[in-house]
Amino acid sequence: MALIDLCYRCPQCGHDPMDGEGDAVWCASCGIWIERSRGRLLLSLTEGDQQFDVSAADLCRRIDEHGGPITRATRDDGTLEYSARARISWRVSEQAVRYRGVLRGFVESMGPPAPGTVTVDRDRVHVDAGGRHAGSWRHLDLGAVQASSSSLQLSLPDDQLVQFRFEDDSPRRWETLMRRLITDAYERAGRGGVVEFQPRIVTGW
Amino acid sequence: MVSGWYAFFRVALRWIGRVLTRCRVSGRSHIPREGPFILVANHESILDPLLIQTNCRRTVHFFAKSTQFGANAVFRWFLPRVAAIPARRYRVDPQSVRTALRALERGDGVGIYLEGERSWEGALRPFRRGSIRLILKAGVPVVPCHVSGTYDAWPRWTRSRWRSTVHVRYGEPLHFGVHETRGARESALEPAADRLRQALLALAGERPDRPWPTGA
Ligand SMILES: [Zn+2]
Repeated sequence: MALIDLCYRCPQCGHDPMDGEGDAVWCASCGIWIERSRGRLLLSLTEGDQQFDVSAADLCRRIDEHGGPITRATRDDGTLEYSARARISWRVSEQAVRYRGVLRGFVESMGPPAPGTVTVDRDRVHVDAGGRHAGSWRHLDLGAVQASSSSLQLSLPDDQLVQFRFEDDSPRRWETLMRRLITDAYERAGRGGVVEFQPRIVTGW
Repeated sequence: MVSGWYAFFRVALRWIGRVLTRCRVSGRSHIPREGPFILVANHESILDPLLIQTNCRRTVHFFAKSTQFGANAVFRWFLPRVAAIPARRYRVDPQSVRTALRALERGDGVGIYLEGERSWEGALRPFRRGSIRLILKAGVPVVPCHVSGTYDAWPRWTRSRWRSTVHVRYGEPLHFGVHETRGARESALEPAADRLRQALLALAGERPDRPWPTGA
């Protein structure tokens, strides 16, 4: 968890990726510097210069206006491909949670994580964690997308659940990327606009 | 009904909340003294449940993502004792809804983060449709609760905390009535979501606009 998870590309010039460590990020292209200090987000247009208060909502809005995660994922020939290294785990079971003998609900148990790669293109997500833990699924066949502060989960066909804990990439970038790709895939297939990504992908009100 | 563990943790965690934040609370009189109710809140920080539940006199069974229950043995022991309901986010979870409705039948409160997750950027996100359906099905009073300042204290993207001033505001209960059929719930979904959003935004008050710096 770090500021770069939120601010993965430059809100000023759009450069992608930002550099960062802990509660600070900086842009190698335009030189802006953003840090969290005493509960506030402070931006300097150049390192050591005057600091301005900025809101996280403004940072995210400007990143989206620059194209969010799509620009970096788009090649010169217009095709789209993006990948990241991750610790990949799969749900192996669900366990009941009881209190005083009464069932309250269920929680998922994830198997041991394995190093691997997740790659997306316009139509599919490809997961490769070696051996039988490899596969490729259409965005149209995904059941749900959800991000935690450090990982991303995808619900796959046949009641499978896969979780990615990224080695050196932002879960927010991936959440936004997956949502955009799924939305685009639904629109291309004429299935309407996606309005909800969890607990299942839903179109229209 | 307040169980022993719940009462113990409410007192203990209220003190922890006071250490971690400078917490102000208003509108507690809007929480019904008896009978079932649903408490709906925005969600900006891991501190929110601690502050909302410990400042509410009634027992509130809050939905919590199922992943938290599996995080470690301590959480697995602790969360049911503070009346958390595990909700799976990767599939529709009818058991969590059954648990919530049972709590309401017993006359307790149920807590819902309408956005279904902590906001990355500290702004109100779209509401989860399943949560609105539950509100329309239950037909009990709905108390809006807005928490501000916890994003500054501890946003989801950092491990470091800052002791900010936090304001927990409980608002006047809203009444939506019972919508028994699926059709009735679907047609009432969007207006109910709008009404809940307006209630939370009214409690939040104006947030000052900050112009993006130009260096001029
Ligand atoms: Zn830049």
